[in-house]
Amino acid sequence: MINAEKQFKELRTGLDQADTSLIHTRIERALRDHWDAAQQTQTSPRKWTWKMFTYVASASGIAALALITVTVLEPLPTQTVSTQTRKQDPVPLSLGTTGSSGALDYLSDSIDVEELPITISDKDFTYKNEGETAQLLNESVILSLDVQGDILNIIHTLRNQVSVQDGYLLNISYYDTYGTLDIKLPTDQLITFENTLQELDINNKVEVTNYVVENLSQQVVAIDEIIQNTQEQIDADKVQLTNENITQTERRILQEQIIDNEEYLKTVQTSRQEKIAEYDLISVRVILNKYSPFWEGNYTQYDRSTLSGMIKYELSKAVYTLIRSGSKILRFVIWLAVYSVILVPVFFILKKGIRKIYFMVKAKR
Amino acid sequence: MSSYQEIAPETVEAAKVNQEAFIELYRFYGQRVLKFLIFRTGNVEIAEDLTQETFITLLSKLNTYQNTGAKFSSWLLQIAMNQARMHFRKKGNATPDDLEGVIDLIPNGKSHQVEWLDFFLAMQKLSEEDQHLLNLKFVHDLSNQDIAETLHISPTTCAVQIHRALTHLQQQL
Repeated sequence: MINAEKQFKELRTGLDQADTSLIHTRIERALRDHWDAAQQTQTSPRKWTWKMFTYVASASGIAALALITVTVLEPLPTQTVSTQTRKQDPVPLSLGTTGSSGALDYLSDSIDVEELPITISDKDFTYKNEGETAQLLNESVILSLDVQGDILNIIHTLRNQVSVQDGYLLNISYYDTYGTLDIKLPTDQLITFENTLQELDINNKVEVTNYVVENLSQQVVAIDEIIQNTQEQIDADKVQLTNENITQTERRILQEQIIDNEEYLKTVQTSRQEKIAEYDLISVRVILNKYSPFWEGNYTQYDRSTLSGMIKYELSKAVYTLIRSGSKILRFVIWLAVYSVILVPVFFILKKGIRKIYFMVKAKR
Repeated sequence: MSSYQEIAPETVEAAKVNQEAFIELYRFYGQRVLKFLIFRTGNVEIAEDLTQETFITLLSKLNTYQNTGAKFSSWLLQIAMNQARMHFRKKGNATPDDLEGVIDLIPNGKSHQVEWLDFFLAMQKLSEEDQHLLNLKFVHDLSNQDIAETLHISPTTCAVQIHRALTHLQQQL
């Protein structure tokens, strides 16, 4: 049996007695050369080593990441775009006309909406179903939804949709996180349009915040009376013109009166057409709210009545306040610290892992 | 039991800036480091390379050394241990490379080559720390105090671990 202590003793004796002078001479020479080389390196410009490069690259990467974060999370300047559009491509309608006399100026004041319903003659609405009582209703609805992405792109999409559904734009208003569209849409297209809006909403839900119906039948009836009266007046004046007993002055006055009344008639008929054109169209206001994450200020989404909600709310608010307030330099420094704490251990672990794999592969070769 | 002497602190300080002082430092500790690495690696050539690397590393770190009362040799042996560790890590295993060079150094080593091979193989089965303990205790003949200082353990622990390592080695043999 081998005795360990005996082996150690023999080994020690052997090593103590061994002539290692040549070994030491070689090592000594190598150390002198290395010393000289080290001295030369100190006096000459510093060479870049792989280690130095790694440190510089890592530090630059973290700094770049912090800079990008500060830039990306920079509060956007408020953008406002407001477009007032005229009625475009109005729905073609077949209209009838009646003659009446009267002044349009005091029309709206004299209308009592509560006396409705008043029906309009079926012949004025050639696309109505037979036998159906016609009502000129002015409907308006406000729809609200939460969206993600660029509000301007969504507005553009909705504009196209409105055009496809035979509607037209009245007004567009846009801010960085908020947008509105005012449109006129055929009433029977409303459901389809709402379905489109649902697809854009992040919760697939459109909120109806307002719905108003106004019956304009009375107004149209009053306009028709004015038209009728004006036409009768024109006809009467024309008849009087044929009278040979009137003087030249009276003739001239009558002619001027006829011209004025015909112009007035045109104005009133145009007004009537405009009122009728709104028949079967619904006014829709679409409100777009841009959904934003908490670091862009949307921390109010959390329910503060629960403990977890309260924690999320306060945390989100703190992060948002930090991002919004403070100078860019401070935010840069903070993000630099955050990324250093997170990424430096990751780099360290990665480096160790790569070294291990490298040596394993090298050993296998 | 021998207790190696330590070089004068002034020489260590001088070695930071003076080549001859550094060479003197090497001549003082070179043999100790070489012996340690010969036993650790089982190969004289590799031990020579690692000894050279140890002192080159020492040269690069010498400016950071400050005399705090601890023995300079403890720090130097730590560097040598790290060099051996790196060598085995690159090699992929801790088996001694070639015992021929070592056996040549031992009186009647060739006639008991098989025994020595068994001895070194049994050594490799021990943990790295146990190997260092036995190396420093039985090859360098250092005191438990010196060994404890080198390996950063308490002297009591050192004594217990040496006994355990030796028992373990004997069981392997």
